[in-house]
Amino acid sequence: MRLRESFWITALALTACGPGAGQRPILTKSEAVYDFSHAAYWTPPELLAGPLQGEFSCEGPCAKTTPAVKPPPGLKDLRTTSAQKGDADVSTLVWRGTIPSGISSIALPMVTGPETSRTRIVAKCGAVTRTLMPKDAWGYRRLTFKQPGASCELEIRAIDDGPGWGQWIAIGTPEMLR
Amino acid sequence: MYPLALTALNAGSVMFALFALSTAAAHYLKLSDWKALAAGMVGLGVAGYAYFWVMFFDTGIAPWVQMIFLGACIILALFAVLRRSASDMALIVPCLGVFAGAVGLMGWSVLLAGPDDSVANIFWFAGSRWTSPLPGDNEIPFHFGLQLREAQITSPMYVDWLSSDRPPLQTGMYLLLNLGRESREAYQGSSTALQMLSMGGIWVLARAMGTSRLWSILSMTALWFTPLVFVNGLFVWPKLLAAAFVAIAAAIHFATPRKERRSVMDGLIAGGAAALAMLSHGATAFALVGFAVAALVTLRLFSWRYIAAAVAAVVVLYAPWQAYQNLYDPPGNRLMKWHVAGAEAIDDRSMTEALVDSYSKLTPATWAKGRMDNIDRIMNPQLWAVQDFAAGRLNATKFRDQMFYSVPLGIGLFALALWGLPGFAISGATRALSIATIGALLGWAVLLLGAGQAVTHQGSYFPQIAVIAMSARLFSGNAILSKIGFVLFGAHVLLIGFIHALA
Repeated sequence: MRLRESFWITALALTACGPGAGQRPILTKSEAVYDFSHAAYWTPPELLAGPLQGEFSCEGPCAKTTPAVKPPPGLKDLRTTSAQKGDADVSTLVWRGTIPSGISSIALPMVTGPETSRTRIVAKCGAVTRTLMPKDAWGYRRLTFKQPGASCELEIRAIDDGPGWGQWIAIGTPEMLR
Repeated sequence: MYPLALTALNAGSVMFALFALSTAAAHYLKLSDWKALAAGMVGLGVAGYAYFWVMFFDTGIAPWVQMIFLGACIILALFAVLRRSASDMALIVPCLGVFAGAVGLMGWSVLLAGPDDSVANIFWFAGSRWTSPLPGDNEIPFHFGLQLREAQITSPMYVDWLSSDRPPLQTGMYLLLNLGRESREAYQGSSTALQMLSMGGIWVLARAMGTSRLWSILSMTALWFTPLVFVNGLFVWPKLLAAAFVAIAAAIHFATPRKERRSVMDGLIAGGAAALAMLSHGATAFALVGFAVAALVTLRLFSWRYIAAAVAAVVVLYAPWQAYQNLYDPPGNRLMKWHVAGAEAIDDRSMTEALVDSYSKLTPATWAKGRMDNIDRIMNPQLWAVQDFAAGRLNATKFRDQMFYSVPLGIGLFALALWGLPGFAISGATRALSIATIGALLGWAVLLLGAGQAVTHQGSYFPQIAVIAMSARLFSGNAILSKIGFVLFGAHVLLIGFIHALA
């Protein structure tokens, strides 16, 4: 077999049998609801299976409570960019931790103020980066970064660039999913 | 202006990749201009389809694959520019046609929009700019792309549609060729450019029949100035994309003389184009069934090598999608059951059960009447709408609604060519294609079960492209016909332009 032919056959085989082939389950409505306006998946809280290991840091002012919007029951550890100056505060919330090897999907609790235009969340795990569009009510955003089999370092950055009214963002500790 | 800028960016990407692949085909495979463009379009479609599978299997490597593809296109295009050969340069025109078609359509739609036509919601704009609001089918490939990128596909994926109900080609091509940040506007721009590959399709068809370069360009322009393209170029359910690939299959098989030999490469291009058309939109099947019958009638079976290559291309490209439909997100037969078995409501019946149920309720007489109603629906000029519009009883939007549904009104003055379709069989240059087009129309009228439901968007869009291409071939034949053609072309452009300049 010539080298060129071997290359194509190998490439085809890798595509068909490569990482993740045949392992991706399809999501049913009971696992996540796809929200067309936000192009996002929201997971019901009853599927949560415990927080991921990791910790928060803040690049700028931040607080641990969101008085304006009541967090969902069971969400204990959260950060918000609405601190001493309220909506006028501008900062970035960072959560760093690990997705263990047996887990492929997680849920990130998130909310923004009523003015969402200058807030965004960037989540990075290994080579995969996702930019998320938050919404102005608490929800558990479902994310899949990898197939089960290897752990990965997860970094979530919730960015609030807006000093104006209603411009704030909050995230909680990401949760594993059943 | 934001959607317009993103359309220009992504139409540039489509044009650039098409130029790179077509010139490579012309140079390395020694293909003629139209066949090189056909090969380039098929190559682009195969690349987009392959990218869909890359995204499905591993989103992590997808950006690298995209970078390698675009890098290869840059190198191929650079080689073409350095070669400066006439065969390469001839391909600039159709590639530019795709770009100009997309930017022109988005520019026309946005810049001439009335105060009620806001681009804030680009999907709504696309579905209501030229007609009364259309349903959300144009969004489906976008959400499929998002879900692929997220590595989370839901079932159902979009309202009550499964991811397997709509073919994946537009999703894959958009994800591969989008140069902007992923957004609704970027998808709209990219997908409008992909629909404009129909400009390439008609150019291929026209050139394959030996149409002059001038009339081949005019055929692209005439197609652009049709209500069919105004609506379906903006409302991007990928039907024009499908029609572009059907035109390529028809060009290879029907547009050149029967005595001309068909090679294995021809078979791969024709079969690949047919498969890609099916991977764009399932309504293509109506045309392909018609082609099969027309091939038998015209004795165009050619060599077994050619047929084997075409069949192999279809199987290799279509089988993975069949596997997705049947194994990953079953059953994926909703559209087929709807169109062929008349089963619009979702149920658990198999395709065969639905067919048996539907046909068992029909008598031969009601079945035959239904076919006649479909033929009437396809060919009926809807003159009442023209009269009402001329008399001011129908406003521009309502008139454009009728142009959207009606096959003859949807191609403007080229409706004359549709009604005169059998006449194209007189000339040897257009005979086989006219028979194939009649086959495509009859296939549609016969297979679409609903009586009198053969409105434009239930069909393959190929016949409309074919009659314009055959008209261009006719007009390029001699000086007198050419003059008649210029008058018809000018009147067509002015009329359709005027109707689409109205608020």
